[in-house]
Amino acid sequence: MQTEQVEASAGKKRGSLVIVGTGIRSVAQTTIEARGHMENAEKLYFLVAEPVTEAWIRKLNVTAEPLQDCYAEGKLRIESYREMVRRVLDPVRQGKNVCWALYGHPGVFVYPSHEAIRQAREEGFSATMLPGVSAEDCLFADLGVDPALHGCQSYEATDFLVQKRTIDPTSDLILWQVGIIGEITYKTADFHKKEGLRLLVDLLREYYPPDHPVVLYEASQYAVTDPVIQRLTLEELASSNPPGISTLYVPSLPSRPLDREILEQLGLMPA
Amino acid sequence: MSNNLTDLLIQLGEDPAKLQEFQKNPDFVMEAAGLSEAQRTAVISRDGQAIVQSLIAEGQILAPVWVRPLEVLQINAPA
Repeated sequence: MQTEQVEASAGKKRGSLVIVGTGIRSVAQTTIEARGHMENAEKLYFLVAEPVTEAWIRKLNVTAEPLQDCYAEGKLRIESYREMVRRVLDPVRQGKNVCWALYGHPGVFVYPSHEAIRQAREEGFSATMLPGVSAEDCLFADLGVDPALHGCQSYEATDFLVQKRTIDPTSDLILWQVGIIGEITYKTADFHKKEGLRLLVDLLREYYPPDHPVVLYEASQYAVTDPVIQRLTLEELASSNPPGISTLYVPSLPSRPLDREILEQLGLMPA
Repeated sequence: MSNNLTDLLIQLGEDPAKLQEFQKNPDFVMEAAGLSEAQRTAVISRDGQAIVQSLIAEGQILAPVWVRPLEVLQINAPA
């Protein structure tokens, strides 16, 4: 491992990129290593979801610059991302140690962060992503879910529909962004698409009964607030009005009987 | 412009001991932080939206809600 690290850093150009996450709960969920990189970067960029985190970031590093203005109403998302990557890599190319902080986990449902890492490495710069706390991590903690118990499938809601993902209903299911099914551009107003929820419920009804319990979940954003946990049935979901950032948790159906042949091959059959 | 609510929320996020102190005696901590009556009501409600509205009233600019889109679809046409 040490040899790999020495080899990785050898031959690298001056200038580096570290991408970190600030977690979901403002300030509190930023890891120690992430904060260190944010404080010490020669240039810090950020893309966060609420103003307290922004105010805190601006206090950490006077060079902090938001990338929110890369978005615009009706602007193609891919164009916004290309602009973000360009702005972040420009000082790297000038030889600076750059840090980019994004809310949540910087690599979960985020295209530009991975693209920035890819381009930086391709150009010969040191580029690293550090893990952060994602909304899914908060969901596991707040709902008392152990993803290892029955397994856990995780999809973005629109992707789940248009790709016609097949699932195992005896494993937990998490669907991200159920409040914006079908939305592909940046919008300033709140949005809600009833037809998307109806389509989703119809698809899920192929696997679960209509009275199957589900949970609409939003993680807490501040140290003094509670998560939003709305328990309802699958059928009730169709007429619900989840905010765009809502995550849907669908608990698993009862497990199937264990496969005796596999158990025998693994030597796990009881004596 | 006062940033008392913003500063308190930062402090409670950074300092678990301060958060514990707030949980034991919220009125004392909020008064020491100089929060207005409306801000205290929002904080005590534990409602994220109420706190966001108070932050806006304090002068914080709330970035429009943005969500992470579905890159895997590689759809380039605007809606």
